[in-house]
Amino acid sequence: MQDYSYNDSIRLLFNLFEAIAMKYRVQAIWVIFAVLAIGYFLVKGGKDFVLGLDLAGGSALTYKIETSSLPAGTDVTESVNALRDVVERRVNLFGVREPTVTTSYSRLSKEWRLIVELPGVTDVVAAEKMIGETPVLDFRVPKNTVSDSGTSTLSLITDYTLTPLTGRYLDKATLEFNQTTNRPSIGLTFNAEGSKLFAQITKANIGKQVAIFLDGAPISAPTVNEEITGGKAVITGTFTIDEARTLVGRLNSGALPLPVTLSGTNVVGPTLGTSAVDAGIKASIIGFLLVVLFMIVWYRLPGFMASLALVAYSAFMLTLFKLIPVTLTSAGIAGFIISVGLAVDANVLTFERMKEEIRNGKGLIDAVEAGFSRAWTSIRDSHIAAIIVSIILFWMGTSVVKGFAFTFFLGAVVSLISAQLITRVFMRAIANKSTSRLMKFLFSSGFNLK
Amino acid sequence: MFIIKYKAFFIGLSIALVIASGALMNVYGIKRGVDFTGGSVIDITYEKSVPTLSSDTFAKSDITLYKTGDNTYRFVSGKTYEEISPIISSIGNDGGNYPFQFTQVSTVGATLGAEMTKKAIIALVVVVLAILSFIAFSFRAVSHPVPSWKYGIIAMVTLLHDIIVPTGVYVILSHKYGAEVDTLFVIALLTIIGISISDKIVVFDRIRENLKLSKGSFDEIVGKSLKQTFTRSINTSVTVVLALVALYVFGPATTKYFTLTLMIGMVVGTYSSIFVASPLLTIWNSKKS
Repeated sequence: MQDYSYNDSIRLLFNLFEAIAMKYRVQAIWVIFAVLAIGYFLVKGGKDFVLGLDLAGGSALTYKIETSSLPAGTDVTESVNALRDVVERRVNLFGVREPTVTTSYSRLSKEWRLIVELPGVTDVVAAEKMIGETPVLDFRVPKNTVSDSGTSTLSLITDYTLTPLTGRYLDKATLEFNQTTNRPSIGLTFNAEGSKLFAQITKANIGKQVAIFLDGAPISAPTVNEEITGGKAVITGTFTIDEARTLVGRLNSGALPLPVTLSGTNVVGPTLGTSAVDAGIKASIIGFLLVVLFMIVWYRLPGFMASLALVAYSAFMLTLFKLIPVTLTSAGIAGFIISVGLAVDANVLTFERMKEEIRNGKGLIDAVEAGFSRAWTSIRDSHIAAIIVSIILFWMGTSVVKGFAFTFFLGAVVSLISAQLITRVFMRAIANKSTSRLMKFLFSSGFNLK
Repeated sequence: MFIIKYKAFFIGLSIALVIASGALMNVYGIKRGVDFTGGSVIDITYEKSVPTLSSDTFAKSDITLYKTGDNTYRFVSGKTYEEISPIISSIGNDGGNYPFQFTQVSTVGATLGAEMTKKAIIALVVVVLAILSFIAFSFRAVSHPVPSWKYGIIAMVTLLHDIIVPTGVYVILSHKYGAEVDTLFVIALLTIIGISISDKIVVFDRIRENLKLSKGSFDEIVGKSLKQTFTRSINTSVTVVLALVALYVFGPATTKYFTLTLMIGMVVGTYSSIFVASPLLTIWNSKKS
């Protein structure tokens, strides 16, 4: 490894930069303009920051998907995706603003999960109802061991065995009334595939009872008289009209093709979220000002230039947050603030090196160049360490950890670029051949440790 | 350099801190949060008057009670939200005399918790191994007089110190205020590792450079390198701590313990970079020769 050599890519970037503007001061003005443009976009650009649930208020529900009930040989991913679509439709029915429904497979626990995030919904019971109470509809046939006398009424659950026909093959459900008794019943229409299955099932079970199960309980078990090919079935139960109507609505929004069990919830009240945002913004601004104050008091003119670079750094980061977009959480903001620390460190390293060079008798211009080139290996290595940590964190991630890891990673990458390009442009712009006492004062710093 | 001269004192101080932290962990135990064990955490805020809740009443139902603010309480339990929310509502509300709101509810199932524990442990191990290999790789050119892997081992040992001491402090927080070892705490530890490793790399990097450029004994070169990086280490630490203080004082309540842990880790990490890591390097080198 060659010491003090620049990474080729950084040099390339820098050459490109140099080609755009020849003189350092012109470059510095370019940078300032660019930052102003970014700042304008940040304030006026129509996009908003995307806030995580902990900041916006809302609920996140994690379900375990019971894939064990699937018959062997079924495409699990397809079923899980079908489940996600159904839950999405269901959640949309309730008019939640920008809900997200995702599924993931956990290798560690070997199970599928469904994660539902509902911004603005802070009533956990209501949220659970919205998803959990979706009916699971399936058709079951008598086990071979049960006598097919047809005389028994609704039998034990254990007497029936599952068929492939479930709510996922449902095209629509309608509210109907029995013409003689005038009692409400529910008409089911299957899609093409479901009609075929239903025909097969009815054909194979003529004279037997085919039971319709809702949420694992039998609600109706009519005796099959003949093969039904039209893909239509009727559930006659002892419903009230209201019950039947809700059931139809729920069936139409889609029956869950797979059962789910709640394994985790996280609900943040709206007031807590808002106060967290206010607190986060306040903390960021005050933290930033404290750092800038320290930099200027200790490193004087270079400190001021580094502060300008920090403003550019922050503007760039915030723009990335909007453009990508990064979902901001408390942990994510913490990651950003720590990355600011990393960015400051890169400047501190450079300035300390510069100071040494000046002490060793170098002129300002040479000292600036030497400061940057000699601090490079330290800056590179410490940033790589930070990037390694952030990548591992992201890879391990639950959503909280990911939020932190991502902003920290972005911060480390942007800081590497900003410390090498932006601060350097500013420093070159102010370095000159002057040996006046004022310049010396401005470039020296703090107290000299002897 | 005074640091190398009085290294026995500085290293001794660190050892004492580690032992004290270990003792604290032993006495109070590390309280794993519901993130890892499964269970519920419920925060409530009283709207008007605040009753004095007795922790004994809740202890009967396996609910631990913490007063977290003037008008806020936190309930922690291994049970689910459905099981404990009626209890909290009936006792906490006292027949409608004390209206309150649930401000935050979080429940974690047992499987999810067990998985998080596994993940956290794997993350810690992978981070440590990755950093160790990175240092060994990065310093591979400098194998004289100290082989590059020794830099890695020493960085590892001091890193351990850097996370044990904040954990010791956290144990006190958790004993007094109910702070739990949760996901955020693990993030804090991993971040401390990330930041303090860069601290150590900067000092080692200087030693690496001086070994090539300067003449003198290994001890002298280490001393010189420390002197050159001293101001930088302190200044960087000061800036990060300043930002963290702002986050602690003005930031959201959810990240308070996280920030405090980071702050302690930052200070301890800077201390060990300057006063422990390099002196250890000289001790190891002198033992060998």
